[in-house]
Amino acid sequence: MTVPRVITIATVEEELPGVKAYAERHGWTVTWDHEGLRLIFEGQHPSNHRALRIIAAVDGYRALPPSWAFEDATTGTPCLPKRGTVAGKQSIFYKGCGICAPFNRRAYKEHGGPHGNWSGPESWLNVHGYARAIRLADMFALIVGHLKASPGTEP
Amino acid sequence: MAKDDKPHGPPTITVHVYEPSTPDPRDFTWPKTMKVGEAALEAAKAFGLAAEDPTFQNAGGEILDRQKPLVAAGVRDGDRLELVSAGGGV
Repeated sequence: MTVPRVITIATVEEELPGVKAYAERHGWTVTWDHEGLRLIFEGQHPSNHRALRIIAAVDGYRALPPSWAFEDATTGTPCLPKRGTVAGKQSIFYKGCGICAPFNRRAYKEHGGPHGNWSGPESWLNVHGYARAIRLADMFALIVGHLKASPGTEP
Repeated sequence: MAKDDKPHGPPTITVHVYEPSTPDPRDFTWPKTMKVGEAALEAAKAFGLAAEDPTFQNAGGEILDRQKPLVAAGVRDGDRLELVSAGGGV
């Protein structure tokens, strides 16, 4: 499914005030790269204080979920938060795809992830029973919450 | 005053709840003993959300256990809370 670039930009920019407000309340900065269609969050891992960059590639949004990735903000190398337990539930962080939740395109089998049981990334808004977030600010809030329970990063 | 008569403050707490996609918060007053999940469900409805298993995230980023009473989850009067999903990963 192809979403015209102008539609994706308008959709993201409609959600941007909420994203920015949430990021500011929690000590993160956010940059909207509308040329590259990426939201770039920068902050620290709460446990080891490593400088983190969290990137959401939003091409195709909201017909498709974003594709989320972590990198070391100092070196630019990929990294991943370690898994912790979040209020008795499993962490969303997962080696195979970064974030194992319906709001991450990389979690779907069609994009190299483990989930062939979610009817494909076009159906992401209809996947229930997991960490659910259907707006960018809600997604980032969940990531921050799961980072809080993460004991560190790897590699 | 005997030890058992020590005042515990009012039985309710007032908190500022944000729905992350909505910049402006709403204030809610709940019994301290109300469960986190029940309060979050009420807040979600007030924001017009059909949220699944909603819970709160505190100002430190921690996601709160839905089964705990607000006071046991560390919620205090005047706290700022975010409405988030309690669902986990797989």
